[in-house]
Amino acid sequence: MLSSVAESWAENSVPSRGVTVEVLLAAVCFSLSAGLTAVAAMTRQEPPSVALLAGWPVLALAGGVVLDQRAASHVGRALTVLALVPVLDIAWAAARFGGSPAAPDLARAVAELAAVQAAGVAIAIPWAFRSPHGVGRAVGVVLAATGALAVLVAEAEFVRSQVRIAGWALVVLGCAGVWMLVARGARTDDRTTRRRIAWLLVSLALAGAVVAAAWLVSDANLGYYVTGSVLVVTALVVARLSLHKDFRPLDEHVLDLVLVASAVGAAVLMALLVRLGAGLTRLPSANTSAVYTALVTAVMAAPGALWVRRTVLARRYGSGLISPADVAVITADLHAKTDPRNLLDKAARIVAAASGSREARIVLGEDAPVIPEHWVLHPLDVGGDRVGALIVESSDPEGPELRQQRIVAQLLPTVALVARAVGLAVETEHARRDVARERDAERKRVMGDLHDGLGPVLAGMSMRVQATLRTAPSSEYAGLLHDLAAGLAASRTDLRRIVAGITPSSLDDGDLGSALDRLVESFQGVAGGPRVTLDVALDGVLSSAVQVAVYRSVAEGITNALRHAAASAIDVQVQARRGVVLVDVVDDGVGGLVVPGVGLSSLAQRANSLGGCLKVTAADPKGTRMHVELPAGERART
Amino acid sequence: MISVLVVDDHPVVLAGLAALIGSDPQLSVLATARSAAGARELAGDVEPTVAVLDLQLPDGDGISLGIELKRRWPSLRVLILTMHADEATVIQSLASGLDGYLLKDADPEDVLAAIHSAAGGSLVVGRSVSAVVVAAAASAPRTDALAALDARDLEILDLMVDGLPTSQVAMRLYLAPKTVRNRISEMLGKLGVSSRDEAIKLGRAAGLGSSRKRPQES
Repeated sequence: MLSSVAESWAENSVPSRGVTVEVLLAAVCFSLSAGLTAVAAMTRQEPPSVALLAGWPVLALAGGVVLDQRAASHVGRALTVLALVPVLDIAWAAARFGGSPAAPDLARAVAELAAVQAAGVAIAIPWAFRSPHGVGRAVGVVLAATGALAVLVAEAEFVRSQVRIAGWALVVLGCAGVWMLVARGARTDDRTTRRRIAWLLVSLALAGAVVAAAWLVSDANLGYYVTGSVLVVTALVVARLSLHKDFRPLDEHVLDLVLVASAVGAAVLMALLVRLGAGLTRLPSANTSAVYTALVTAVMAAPGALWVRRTVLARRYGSGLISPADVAVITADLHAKTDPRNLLDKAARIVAAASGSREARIVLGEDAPVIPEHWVLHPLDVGGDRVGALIVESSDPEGPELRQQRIVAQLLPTVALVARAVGLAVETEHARRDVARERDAERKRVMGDLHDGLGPVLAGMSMRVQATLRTAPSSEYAGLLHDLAAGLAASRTDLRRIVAGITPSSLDDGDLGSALDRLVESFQGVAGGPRVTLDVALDGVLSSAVQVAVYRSVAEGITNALRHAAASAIDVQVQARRGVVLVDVVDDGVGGLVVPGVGLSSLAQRANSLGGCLKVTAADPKGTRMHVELPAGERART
Repeated sequence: MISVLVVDDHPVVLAGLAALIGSDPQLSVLATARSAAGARELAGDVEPTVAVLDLQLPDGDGISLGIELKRRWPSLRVLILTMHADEATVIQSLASGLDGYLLKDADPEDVLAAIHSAAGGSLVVGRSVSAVVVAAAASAPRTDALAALDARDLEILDLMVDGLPTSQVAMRLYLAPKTVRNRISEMLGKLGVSSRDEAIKLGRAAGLGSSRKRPQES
């Protein structure tokens, strides 16, 4: 019974099915209370005190609703038990005034028990919301009970009214003490409990004030009616509070109140001024003018009040909207071809900015990430498949407010699509790298086979031809043998170049400049071949993918010029400028239309995949220029 | 007369080399063999001046064979003639006391000149640095230790080589730590190793890790 309410909620998070014992008991209490009240109403025919009795059964109704949702709710039980007060009243009246008390007797009994009932409501309900333990509560309860007893005695024995007043004072003191303990204990509770109790105390205090005011300022009849009505309202409010979960921060309501009060105040002030002015100038229908002015002022003040409210809320929780300017800032660095996963950071930042959260992150994959305390995890699903999770750190350590939750929830489907798209892009990139790796491995293998298989054959044949030439220099086949020797030598050079161009393992030490030196050197030795010049101006370190692309561009450019251009000079320029690497291979050969072969096509493809491009144009005054542009910042490796 | 022993498993090369040596009046082919075992079986009364050995033989490597033959005939000069060369092998062969190293795609005249030089007692190293480098390109290891891994695994291994713990790897790749742990254990299976450290060692040997390639980031 003494376990805290929060715990009992946790136990009963699943609503029970059908009618539970608790609900049945609440129904019994209601029937008993309502039935007796009806009987009293019919036999005594004294409307005011019956009106008071009629308020209590509603508590059982509210208790039943609460118990239906949470069978172990202390609040529900407290409400249900409080509904039995008319039974107590009628039994007390019967005991004091005989088996069938007359109408004044019932009113007397009700008056005598009023303090007991008030103390009961004032202590039972806050206690049921949160059970504070210890001496303080006991003292409060004893004080209130003593006061209630004093009032009972004073009413019953017609002792001096000072005793009655002192009794009521004790009741108020004891109840206030218990309330303070409840309020103080709630500070250590979670946010929801805290707000719930604050609402509860405020509503009970208001109810008490209204009842007290009704009894003090008017005759007893109005007191009966007001008390009955307040009981009904209190029952509804308590039931609603115990079932509601998402409370807005209290200061928001204070703000609302202040704004409404300001608008109303301004309207009243204007109306008074108009009324005063109209009185002084003796204008006709001064009152009408004043009312009209008040209405106009209130209507005109409303937009200002709403603006203040919106501004305060937006400052606290984020606007819930993202302006094009925000998006432009957040996504400013996306124009470059980068890792698609950077998009996730951007999307997360948009969520964080819109919801006023401190930070947000997106994680891909089906597994839920381990989240730090105070973070909230939102699964991302697309078409029933888990694609990832959005985790959000609220700016409040107790988690996001309702408003922020709504904003995040609205953005979730879009974020899920972003996560899905990025996941696909990452998969595509992985597949591309796998294909590139396989292609490179395959190339290496083919080139190795070529080198190991064809190389020795060419070498052996060269040696034989050379041997024959040496032993029989004047034979009739000497010319043929010379041609053969030259052809074989050229083939050996070709093979060496092909192998060197396609497997740039000389790049393994990461020095592109010297690798290019060696590459160009290997083209130099051909007698009668063109003169190849190399000019390299690089700063910083390029990623290995870009290095390989530069190396192959140079190799392919020179090979093409040698093959097709009949050039006498080939100029190679490699320079890095403002994040871009430029490769130019210019020959002074025949020029003309270049039909891209396998080499050029695969080079263009490689440049594209790195975010660059390849162009082949005519050189000035004659010849061909191959121009390759690559982003130096590309860090993806193949 | 310089007598030459030729050992090469490639018949075209063997025939060409024999013919080439035969064409030089000062050289003669004493014997040819197509394997290390064939070279060892040569009759005891044969004593070549120069041995021209292929680096890769079906039953052994040219360097060990050269050392063995030199032990048998201390005055023998040994030349390694190969398609495959990288600087490490060149240095290894010369450090082992062999007398020369040249490439098969050298000009035939250069091959003859090399045999003469070796016989004359000088150290012979093949044509040019570029030739060695080009050959090195072709002889780069063809079996990639990480061949079993795909791009997804490599991405993780790359960050592991950088020394990042699983949680950091997960954060960098926008994955849950659990996902990364699963993938790492899959990866260990593919690599056939039992610990993360071994995998990291393999990755580092294969050149993964960004600290070396992207110094501007650290």
